[in-house]
Amino acid sequence: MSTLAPARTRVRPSFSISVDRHKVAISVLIAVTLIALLAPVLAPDNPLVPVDQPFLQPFTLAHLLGTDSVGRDVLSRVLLGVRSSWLSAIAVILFGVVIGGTVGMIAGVSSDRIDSLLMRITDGFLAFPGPVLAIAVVASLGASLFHTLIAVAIVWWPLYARIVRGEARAIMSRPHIEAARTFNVGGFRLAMRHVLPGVVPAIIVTASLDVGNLVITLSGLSFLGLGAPAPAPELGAMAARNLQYLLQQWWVCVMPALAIAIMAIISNFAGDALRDFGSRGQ
Amino acid sequence: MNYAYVEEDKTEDEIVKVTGLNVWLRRGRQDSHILKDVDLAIKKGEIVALVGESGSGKSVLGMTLLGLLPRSSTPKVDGKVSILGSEMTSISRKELRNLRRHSISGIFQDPMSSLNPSMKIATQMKEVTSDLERAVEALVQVAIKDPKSVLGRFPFQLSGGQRQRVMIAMALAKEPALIVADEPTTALDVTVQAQILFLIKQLRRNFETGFLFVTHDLGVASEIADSVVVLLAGRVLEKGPTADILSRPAHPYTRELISSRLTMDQDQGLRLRTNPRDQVQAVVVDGCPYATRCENALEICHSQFPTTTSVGDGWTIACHNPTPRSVSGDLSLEVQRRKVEGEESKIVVLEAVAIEKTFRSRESRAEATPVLVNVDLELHQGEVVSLVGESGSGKSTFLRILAGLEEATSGTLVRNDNVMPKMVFQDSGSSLTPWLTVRELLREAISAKSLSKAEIEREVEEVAAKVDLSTKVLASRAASLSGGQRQRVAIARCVISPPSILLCDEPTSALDASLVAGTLNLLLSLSERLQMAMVFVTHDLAVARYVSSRIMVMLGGRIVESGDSDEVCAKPLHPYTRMLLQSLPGEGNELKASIAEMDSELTSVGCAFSSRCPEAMEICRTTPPQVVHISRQRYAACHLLEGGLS
Amino acid sequence: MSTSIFFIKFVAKRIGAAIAIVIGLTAVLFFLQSISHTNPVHAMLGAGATPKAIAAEEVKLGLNHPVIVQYFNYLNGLLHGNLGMSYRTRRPVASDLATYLPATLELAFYSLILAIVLGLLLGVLSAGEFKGTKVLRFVLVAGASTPQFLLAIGGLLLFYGKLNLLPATGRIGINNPPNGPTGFYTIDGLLNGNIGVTIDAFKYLLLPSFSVAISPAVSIGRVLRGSLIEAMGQDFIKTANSKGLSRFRVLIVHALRNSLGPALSMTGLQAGLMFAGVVVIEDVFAWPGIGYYTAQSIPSGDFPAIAGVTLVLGIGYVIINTLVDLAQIFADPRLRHLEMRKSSAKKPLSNLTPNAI
Repeated sequence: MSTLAPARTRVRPSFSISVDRHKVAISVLIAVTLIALLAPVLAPDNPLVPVDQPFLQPFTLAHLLGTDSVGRDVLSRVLLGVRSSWLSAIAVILFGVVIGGTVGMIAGVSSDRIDSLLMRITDGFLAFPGPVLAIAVVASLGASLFHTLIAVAIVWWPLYARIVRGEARAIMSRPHIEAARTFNVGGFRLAMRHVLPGVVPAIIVTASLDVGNLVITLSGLSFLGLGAPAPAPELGAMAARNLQYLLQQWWVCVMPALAIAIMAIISNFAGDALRDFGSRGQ
Repeated sequence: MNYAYVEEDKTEDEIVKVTGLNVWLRRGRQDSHILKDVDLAIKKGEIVALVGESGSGKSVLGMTLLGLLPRSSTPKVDGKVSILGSEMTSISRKELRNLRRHSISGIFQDPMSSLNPSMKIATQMKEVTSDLERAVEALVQVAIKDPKSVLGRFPFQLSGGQRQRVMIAMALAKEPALIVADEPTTALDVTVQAQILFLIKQLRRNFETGFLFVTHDLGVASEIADSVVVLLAGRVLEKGPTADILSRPAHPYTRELISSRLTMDQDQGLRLRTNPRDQVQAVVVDGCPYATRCENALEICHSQFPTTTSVGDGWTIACHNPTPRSVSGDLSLEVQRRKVEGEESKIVVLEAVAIEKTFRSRESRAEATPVLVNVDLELHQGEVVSLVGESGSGKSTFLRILAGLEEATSGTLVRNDNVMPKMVFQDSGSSLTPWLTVRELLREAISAKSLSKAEIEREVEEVAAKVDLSTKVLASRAASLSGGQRQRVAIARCVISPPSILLCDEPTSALDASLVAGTLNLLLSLSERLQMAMVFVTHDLAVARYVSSRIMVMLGGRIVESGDSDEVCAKPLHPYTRMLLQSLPGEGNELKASIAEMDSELTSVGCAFSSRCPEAMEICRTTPPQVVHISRQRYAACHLLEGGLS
Repeated sequence: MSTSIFFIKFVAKRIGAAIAIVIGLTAVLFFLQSISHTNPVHAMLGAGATPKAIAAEEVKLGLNHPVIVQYFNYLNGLLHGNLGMSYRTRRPVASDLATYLPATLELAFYSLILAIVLGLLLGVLSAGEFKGTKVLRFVLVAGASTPQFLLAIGGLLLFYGKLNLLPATGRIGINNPPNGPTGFYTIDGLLNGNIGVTIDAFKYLLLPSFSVAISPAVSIGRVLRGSLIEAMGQDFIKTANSKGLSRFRVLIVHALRNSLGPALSMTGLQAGLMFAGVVVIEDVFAWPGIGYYTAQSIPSGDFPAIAGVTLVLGIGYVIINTLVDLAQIFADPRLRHLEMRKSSAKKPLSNLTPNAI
């Protein structure tokens, strides 16, 4: 679809400086996870109690992100909020990978009948508007972080089931499976050695993209008051409760929201990098 | 075969002139040098065949002429590409579009995917010619039977041959000076291929269109081209008039290409010639890309690419040392005799009687498509039988039933032992699980269950030696193997616990010519050594004739002819077999195909061939013919024979 | 099988499936109601109720019946438009919803249109290898990563706080909003011949609808970009180019038509997520719709209200996705063909992940 590029001189091994994007992606994901794990140590102040005057300006040495309406250190609260968001997202993903992955693998390698039964159940879950249903589930169980995680996990695993099943089916239809069958390789070994390694890359890519989706989804629920109750430092709730100060003390409201966006951007770029790496390998 | 076409003034009629063309494309993260210093000219009304194995850059050259190098691979182009006086390397987008709109066209390999699936043919035709009558006329020119109704259809409602005809019609409708045809017949059945080749030759005469015909098949090139350009790793090694090159190839690589081609006069008693250096895979940067495989190679070949020298009228090669070492041809390592079936073994290893297979659609129980109808096969120990047919003939389904991968709807299948037959798949690369190591793949193919670890390792090493795989290869993953290695691993897997029956599903059709001979030799010698019977499915009669003692021709799910392979090829009984033989490209039998489109739709009522058969009678369309036997294994099913055999 | 019978069968099947899903949703909501941590009797009567009053209320609410009978009573109630009583407003949930629904429908309608238009633009432009594609790709990723309430906050800070161009909260500035036939202020304004109302209504709509639409637009755009790029690599694009067609025609007529399917599926999926987004955004902008109603109901644990909203939004989601499925089959001749031959062929929503609340 192009015209030919204009003529150029002969020699051309390209020496552009390029870093392995997928390695950067993995490092950054690990770095954020470390920050999340070490947040209580990293936080300069106690996030739950007032430590200074209320509404101190951000970008000062004493309080990098300022203080909030009762004088708590915003940076400390954001760090703890990141911890809760990031680890919650990973927990939901692990649940999705284990449950959804198992259902998807079973459906993917089984006979048509078992496959369509399992997928009908999965599709049933997917047919509900997940996040809206999650609101109802949390409203019924009562607001707490744990209940929110349960609600989101319930609506989230079918996606993994679908993706894993789709990949597994695609691999099952490839000739190497048929070839393996003629050598009497079957059942468990077939699934674990001949199918699963081919599914793993898709799971990794989906999971790293999904961290962002989950961080955003969970913060939305928390914004509506469906997360951990009041003093707990949760990013969504922090943004919601400080909405009234938006025009004068914007940082109290914006900083937590930005933290969410940064986590999501990291996850999205990492997922894209890993996907590009995976598709290049094939 | 060689149409010495209008030999007037040489430069005047040149529509394409390529000089010193270099192309780099981005592959992965590096620019790779795909075409190196290519020179090429195409005259008005000339068909130039561009021949090369996969990865030689032949398609890239075709795309360069069309100005269609994929933007995603950031092409860099250096050199001159002049088409009808326009310089493609400096032309503007708009001029290029104009050129494509009026003067150059492309036809591509896969007719399934090269038409827009969601647009009616009429709409797609209208993009090249605004008036509908011209569109109908173009369809008539490519001998589409019912142009009006074809215009109203979507591509998925046409057969492969019809789609390729539509593609050609679209390419022709603007009466271009140049058509780039990129493997236009590779995806088609031989009989359809013959028609399309014949059609292209006719059209070239009528319209004086020049063709760049990209192909991997020397046979096809010999059938259609005025001149041939041989390409290897982006370098032109030889080019010249087709007749000269085919009869007296001057470059060692061309000689290998020609001598490794399997033809109908291949002596069945001899092993095929192979190039022992084929295993060597070396990256050549500056030297001749053939140097590592060339037996004439000199020191200089590895470091410097030779300059082009003339060896005849319009015939050039690029070689430091072209002289053949021996008279009989260069690749003449001693050619071993192979045992051609002497006394037939009487042990029957497999008997299939009246195998039927019907695919039922899930929705409507009434619509059941018969895929196999009453197929019999008796296989003796160590015997090689070929199943020959076009796509959709049921040959692969039958093989899959024999392999236990599918179940027959009815019929009986008896083996004389309990070992499942093993199968060599069409694309050996994809039959190996890419992330497993060769060792693991071989280990799990061992059928004996109670072996110690040491015994297993010994078996693995033994079989590796048998198929000539180094122990280093055992540790590598399947995905990192070369084409030849994959083929060997796939075969090793099958024979590590030798079965009494080995099934081969087109094991050579996806291979480059240079690998075919080695694969066939290996399969045949293993079958002799291990006393394995082989069922060999192929669409290529030349391959079938060479490998097997018996050929069974399949059509529409039935065996229409069976017999000793020489007899079937020399004195075919069924008109269909005759047509297959006549359609073989490069056999010097001056394509007798008619350009007329033939219904390839199989009628399940009468004889499946009746719609295409030149000798079809009324009864052929209504009643399936009975099988007429000459002897137990020599038979055919045709109404013409029912009156008695001549 | 003839085409028309096939279509009727197909449509009937999809509608049947949709009804089954809605019934499933009612069962789930009933289950959630019965395990709810708020006791409806206490919620209605307050903490100091006498045991006698409690027993009477239980009978009134039908809680003395076996569970299955309660469920059928609940279903029966739904069929008669009875969604229960709100603990908070003490009014029937159905009439609450009737008050709040038009505002939400208007916001959702404009957001959906905006999302589709923006999604198409983003997808085509970022796949079209025009100048600035890289910037657009960054916009796509960044947009997909931004929580909707951050967009809303940013919009408020800029257009209300700094520039004072747009209003912050509410749905309309004038005192007597039209009482018109559609419940959409923008349309009612026109119908009543009062163009000022329409303009004012659009001013109020602008920030909320953009905040809702950006995230689904980006998702649609990304999917479209992917399938467009895939389509651009197909052989028939080579054919189209070799005909000398313009870049625009190749991209729009040849590539786009063959890559709308996944984007359409994504639109259906995103519609559901948009409803969730609407809840958050209405809360930020105090938009008087059912999302605002939900946000108000959450702190007081008003489950019947939330269940009512969930049911309404769920039905909307199912309807949209059924329509998308039907649109797919009518749009793509290959699918039509395929479905006619083996009707088990499904277009799964594989590798589409939802994006955000």
